Amino acid sequence: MSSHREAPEISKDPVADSTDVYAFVSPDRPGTVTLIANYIPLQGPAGGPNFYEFGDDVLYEIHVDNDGDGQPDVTYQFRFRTQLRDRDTFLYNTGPILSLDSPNWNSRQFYTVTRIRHGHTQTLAQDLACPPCNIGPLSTPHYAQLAREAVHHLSGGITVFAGQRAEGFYVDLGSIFDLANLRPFQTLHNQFGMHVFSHNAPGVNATAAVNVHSIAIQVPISALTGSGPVIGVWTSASRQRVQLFDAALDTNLWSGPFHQVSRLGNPLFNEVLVPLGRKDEWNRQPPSDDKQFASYVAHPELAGLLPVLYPGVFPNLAKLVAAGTARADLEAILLTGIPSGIVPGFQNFTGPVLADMLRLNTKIAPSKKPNQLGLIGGDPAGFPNGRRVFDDVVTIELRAIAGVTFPLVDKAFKPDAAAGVVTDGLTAASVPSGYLNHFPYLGVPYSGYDTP
Amino acid sequence: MSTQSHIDPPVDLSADPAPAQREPMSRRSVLRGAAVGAGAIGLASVAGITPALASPRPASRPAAGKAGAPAAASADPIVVYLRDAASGELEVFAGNTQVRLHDPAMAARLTRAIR
Repeated sequence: MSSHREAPEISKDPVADSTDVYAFVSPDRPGTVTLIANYIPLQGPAGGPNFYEFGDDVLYEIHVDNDGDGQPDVTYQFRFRTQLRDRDTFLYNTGPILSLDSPNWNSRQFYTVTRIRHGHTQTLAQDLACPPCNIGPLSTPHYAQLAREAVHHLSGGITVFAGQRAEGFYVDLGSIFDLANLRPFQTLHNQFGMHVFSHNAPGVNATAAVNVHSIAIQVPISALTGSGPVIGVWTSASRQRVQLFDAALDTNLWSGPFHQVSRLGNPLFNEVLVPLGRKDEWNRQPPSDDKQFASYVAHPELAGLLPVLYPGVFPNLAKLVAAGTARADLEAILLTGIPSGIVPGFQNFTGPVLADMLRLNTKIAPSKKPNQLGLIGGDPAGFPNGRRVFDDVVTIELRAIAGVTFPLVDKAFKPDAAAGVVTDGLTAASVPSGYLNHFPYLGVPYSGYDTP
Repeated sequence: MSTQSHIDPPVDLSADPAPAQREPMSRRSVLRGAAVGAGAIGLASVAGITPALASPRPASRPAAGKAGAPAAASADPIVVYLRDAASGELEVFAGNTQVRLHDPAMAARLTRAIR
């Protein structure tokens, strides 16, 4: 998945587990950028009575680098506080929740937004209300309206939302983790000699009925950019170093400085490129130290696997891998941005520092007719120029790793025909909730009643 | 930037009073934490140690002013982590702060108290 449960340690700490990051020029407010960081993966919508909440003990951050050093120049911090109205009921709600201050809503969350910019820290807002989780038609009968009330407008043209949303990332997990057996091409898979599949099949969206928790903030472009139009974006989650259960007080005690336990910039970076033994280490590092992981980008394991798993399908990729050629195309896409002169009329280069950040050229206007394949689909407003909620990042990265982007750095290279069509068989239409055309852009979460 | 970048280097507190001058340390006082920690913080102040962090800032970023949460307040519980009993390396946590101490004598007392 993009970054859901991608590393051994963080998979055991879901409230701090970042799943996706989005950054795009807002299509309905093109003078702003929308940044979204998702947490708490794979939420079963009916998972009560303790429905999903942000961690009160987690420091959530969205970072923006605007000078290319892989260090944050602007950071938005989000801290949550849970308030229980009635300790004597087991229920999340004791009647319909018709407003954010409904007395029927027992377990509520509030949050503080803080900005750190140029060494100056400013609290932007306090005690902002989150919406409840989407329980069902009796508990949350007007959910979309309720969630709209949780969109808060702050001074300085900033809009924020923090709460449950429908998972917008689509992926055929079942097939990918079954030894990359992509259903639309499974008859071409070597099947390890077992001859299990005799026909191809459409993709299955494993995230079609799950929710996530989103932190979304919309900010004027001028509040994020430096001397150039390109910004690098990532999220991180941090915990204090010490956790101690005080049995006498019957409570957890947290102490010490915060240290980073999760981060995410480009989708699938840690998930697919970084090896298992270093994934949690990667989660603890800042993007500015990503040079130590660059070899996994230059020589991705998956590029070597594709010709083996699909015999005869990727012969040119196989030669490229066998030659030990560094994938400068992937390094540019994921670690430095694409310099000008590579793709006509486009660049999102941030300089020579190798750093996994989602790079967005804010000068590129939103597409009137977006292509979910982004730049490789001829749409420079999409991934890897930032990332929109509907971009098909699985297909884009599969094709890139398969070699479709290598001609950007070596015009003599001819990608295999399969590299241009390989996919897990899903599109944005595979997301049942759909997407919103306005902030916070991710769809209304699936309700527990309707999605047991 | 390494995860240790905001953590002060170990400080040798060998100037700590001789064992006979110290109050006896019981297991209860160690586990209660606050009394031991308060002593440790006091020693840190004498030695000129600055708390490692005064904001909820992960170590992955450079210090950039004070953020939302305050530094350790007097009411914050204090947690002492004896990292290496042999060398006397201790870490002391309170609020959002951390100091690293080098105090073989205290390490020995803690070790005796817990065993």
